[in-house]
Amino acid sequence: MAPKVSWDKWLFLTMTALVLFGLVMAYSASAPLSAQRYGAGHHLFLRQLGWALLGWIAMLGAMRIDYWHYDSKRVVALALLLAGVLLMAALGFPSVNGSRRWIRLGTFSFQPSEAAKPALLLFLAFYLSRRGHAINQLTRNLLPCLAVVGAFLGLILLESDLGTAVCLALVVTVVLFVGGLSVAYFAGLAALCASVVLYMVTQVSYRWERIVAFLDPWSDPLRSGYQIIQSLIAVGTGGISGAGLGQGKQKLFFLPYPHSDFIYAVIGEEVGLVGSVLVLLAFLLFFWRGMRTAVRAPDPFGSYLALGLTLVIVLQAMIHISVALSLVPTKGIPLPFVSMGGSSMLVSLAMAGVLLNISHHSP
Amino acid sequence: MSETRKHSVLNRILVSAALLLAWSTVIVFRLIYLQIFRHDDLLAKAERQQSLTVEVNPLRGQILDRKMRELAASVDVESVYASPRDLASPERAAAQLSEVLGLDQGGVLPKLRGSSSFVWIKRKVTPREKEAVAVLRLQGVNFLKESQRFYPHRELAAHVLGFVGLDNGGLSGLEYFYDAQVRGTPGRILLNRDARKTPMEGQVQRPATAGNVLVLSIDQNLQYHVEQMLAEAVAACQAASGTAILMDPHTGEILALANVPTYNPNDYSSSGKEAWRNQAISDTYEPGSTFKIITAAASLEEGLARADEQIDCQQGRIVVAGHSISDHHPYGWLTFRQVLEHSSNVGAIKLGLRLGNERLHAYVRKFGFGQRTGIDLPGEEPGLVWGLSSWTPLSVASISMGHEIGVTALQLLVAISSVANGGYWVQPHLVNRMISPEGDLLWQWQPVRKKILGASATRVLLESLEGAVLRGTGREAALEGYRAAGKTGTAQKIVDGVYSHTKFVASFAGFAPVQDARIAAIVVMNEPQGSRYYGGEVAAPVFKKIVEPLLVKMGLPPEEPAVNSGVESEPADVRVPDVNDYAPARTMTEVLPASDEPNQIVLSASMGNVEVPDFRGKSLRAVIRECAGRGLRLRPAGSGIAVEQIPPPGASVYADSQVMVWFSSPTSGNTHEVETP
Repeated sequence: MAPKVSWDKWLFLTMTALVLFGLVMAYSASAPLSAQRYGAGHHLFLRQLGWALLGWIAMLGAMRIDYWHYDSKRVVALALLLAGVLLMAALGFPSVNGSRRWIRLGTFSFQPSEAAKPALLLFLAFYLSRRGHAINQLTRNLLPCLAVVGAFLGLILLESDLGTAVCLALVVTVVLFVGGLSVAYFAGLAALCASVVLYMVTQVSYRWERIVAFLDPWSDPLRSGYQIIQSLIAVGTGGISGAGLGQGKQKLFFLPYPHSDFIYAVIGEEVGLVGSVLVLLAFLLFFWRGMRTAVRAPDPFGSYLALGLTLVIVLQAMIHISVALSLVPTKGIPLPFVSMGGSSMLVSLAMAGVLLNISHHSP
Repeated sequence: MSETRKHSVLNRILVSAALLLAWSTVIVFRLIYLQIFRHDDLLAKAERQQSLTVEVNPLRGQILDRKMRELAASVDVESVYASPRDLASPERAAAQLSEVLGLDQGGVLPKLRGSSSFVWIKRKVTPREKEAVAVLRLQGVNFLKESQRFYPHRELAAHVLGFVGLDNGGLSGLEYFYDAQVRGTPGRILLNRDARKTPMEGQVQRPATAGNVLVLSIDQNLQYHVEQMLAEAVAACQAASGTAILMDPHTGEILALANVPTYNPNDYSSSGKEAWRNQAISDTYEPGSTFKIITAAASLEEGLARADEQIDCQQGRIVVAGHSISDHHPYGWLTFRQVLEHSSNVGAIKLGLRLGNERLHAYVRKFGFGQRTGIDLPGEEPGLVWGLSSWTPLSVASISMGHEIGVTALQLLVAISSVANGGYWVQPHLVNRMISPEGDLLWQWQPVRKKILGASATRVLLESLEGAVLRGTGREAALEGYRAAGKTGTAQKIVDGVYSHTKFVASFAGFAPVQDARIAAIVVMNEPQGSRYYGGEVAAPVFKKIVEPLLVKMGLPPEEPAVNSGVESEPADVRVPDVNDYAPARTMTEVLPASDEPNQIVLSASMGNVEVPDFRGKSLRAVIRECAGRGLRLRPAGSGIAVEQIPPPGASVYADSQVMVWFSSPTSGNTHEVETP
């Protein structure tokens, strides 16, 4: 095995900075809702702080487990099985706002689509590292792989979590592309994804409205365009330096989910252009160090795993940011490390821990 | 991993990285666009939805009398409004609210069912009603403080003060006239709010500034006294209505202004619109004999009459323009003074005839008739004075004794004041000073006056009018211990275009003390019933009742009674009513101003001394020459040769009458209507 080097400091620092900044922003963004719903402005923040600590412990643990322990049929199968069961279990819970993404046990709730991310990435790294270029053999290698991926994405779509599905589809596509998928298959895959998305969008009226709203939010400012308009108003209000931490007003129930799906809008309002760009740069830095790790990883499994883990965090961030700026149609998707949400925080930090461990072995 | 394979992976990672970088660039440009270029626009949108401006009603300025006593004040009251979208049950709320507020449930419910965020339930409720609504504790029902105008003395000076509407805008009287000054400017409070419309902390953008305070020339006590006396008098003679105005003849300050019927401005809507009417300035009437003052003044000023000159009153009968006009009591020779004292129609007409149309008309205008006095009240009428061109040959006689003319009580008061103040027309006014809410003097009234009569004319008129009180028609106006002057008037009202024999306007205009007049007053009684309806009987005593105690209260030392300086008192023992028993064909309402209608001339065509020649077939030039020769005024129409004329040939008319002649071009046929093609 490759000689041990220290963990990638940039990766660690970037992630830590994002988590700390995220806690501040989540507190600011959630205070009005928290005060209104629980009578205390810090109620949701404390819960988030708990998840962050839990995630931090998970990350520290993952950092110390050498990644090649996952490079086994048994682990991968177990992960896929666990994720699949959780996803199906979520479908049995009552729907919240028309979607069944949650597993609830008392006050504890978990989003299995988050767990599906590492499981799928593990599977992909395992599969690609073993098949290599043979992935281009359609029936022998590519289709089985796509079948597994498709099954998971299908389950996530059943939960009405289009955002996560699209994000994962994008990650899988890029990982396959880097893994050597021929351009022809790549194009076919892209077309397949596009047609699935198009089908999903046209089948569900609220999604279609979101597309229309994205193109012209002011055509229906009180209904379909409302979220986008509120997000744009928040971002625009921030100007160059922002209204100041905690000073934003759009979180006063103008913005939907200001603490999760639209936290980047709150960032734009409160810390302005400077803060918004810094957050974007942080994710780009994370991308660069993650890619560096992938390239330098001692084996293909580590390489593909690092690639997938980096992409799943960075692409999700890019989509979240683009939604807030109305560059893509609205999808409810949190900003990794920053948005409030226990499962997202826990899983993101754990995945970062695995990535750090890979960097530990990449000179 | 093979080197080529690794190379391929690296390449594809670079491609992905490049795409990601491109995506990031788009994001950065989008951020710059939104946060720099769209910043102002989006900030404005944010403020619009995040804040709520609330108007704060300003305190309306007080109205004070001349001694700074409050005539109109503003108090805070509560109004009830609802936010229907916050109501748990509109039905229950409507039932409860309509019960405690005494409203119709059917009217309240539709308002509460709407989706708006603001509807008035009831404005300006009583404290008891407010309490009753408050204990209901209905969510979505709230109170708003509003300013309510309050007139502590109810009807006192109602026509002067006017009243304000629900939204604190002046609707009549001084409240309307000075609305902009008294109203104040509303304040603005900016409330931050969240998307659920919950108001959060507010920020005063502009404080409300109270309106200015008006200090009137009106004296509250005096006004009360006048109102009492007037109301009693109107009741006593069962008049339809009545007016009394008191003014300082030197400055034009209105000291009191009262009308019956009146109303309570605190509750103006419960009385009819007729009661709101300020008759003193809005109603015009034919003044009758009081107007003889103007005729007398003009002839003195023009040097056409002397004080002790004898005028033949022709045993009370004169014929003007074919009309016989008589006095109620036949007089022979009267001095100029006696003509006024006894209100001889014949005497006044003779003075008027000496003046002629132009000069009489000029003085009528000079005294301010036919024009608004410019008093600071809305709704003032200019009265009615015909232009010279529409005067008939009878007009000069009619106007000399106060007919064929419409005046307001205020105009007549101003006219008689010029006798009291040494010959000045003064502008009447009500507001002496305007004071800012902080107490700074903002504006002070400066008297506006102009000289219209010389000293000698004024002196003679003064004596004559005092004579009228001492010996003439106005004896019931004579004061105990003070010298007063004045003139009575009784005019028949015009009912359906004809002078009525049962409906009169009785008036008395006068002033006291004679030598340095402190008060000029006019009393007008409209349609007094019963046997007493003369100005000297129903209006003059009211003058006495009003003015006498005031002079005592003013602390004026009693005067020596005036000497009957060489005036023969022969006719004085006869009760001489001053009514103008007069019924010409023409009344105020009948005459059209400067009308082109030819029949106006025909009316008097049979009574004149100039024969109208036959103009037909003659040229314009010839017609002009003939008219000039006979003293007729020509009004030509068209061109060519004369084809038609009014009056017809052979009619006899007065000199200076108007003749209309139509001319037509010979080529256009023989009818003047046909135009040349």
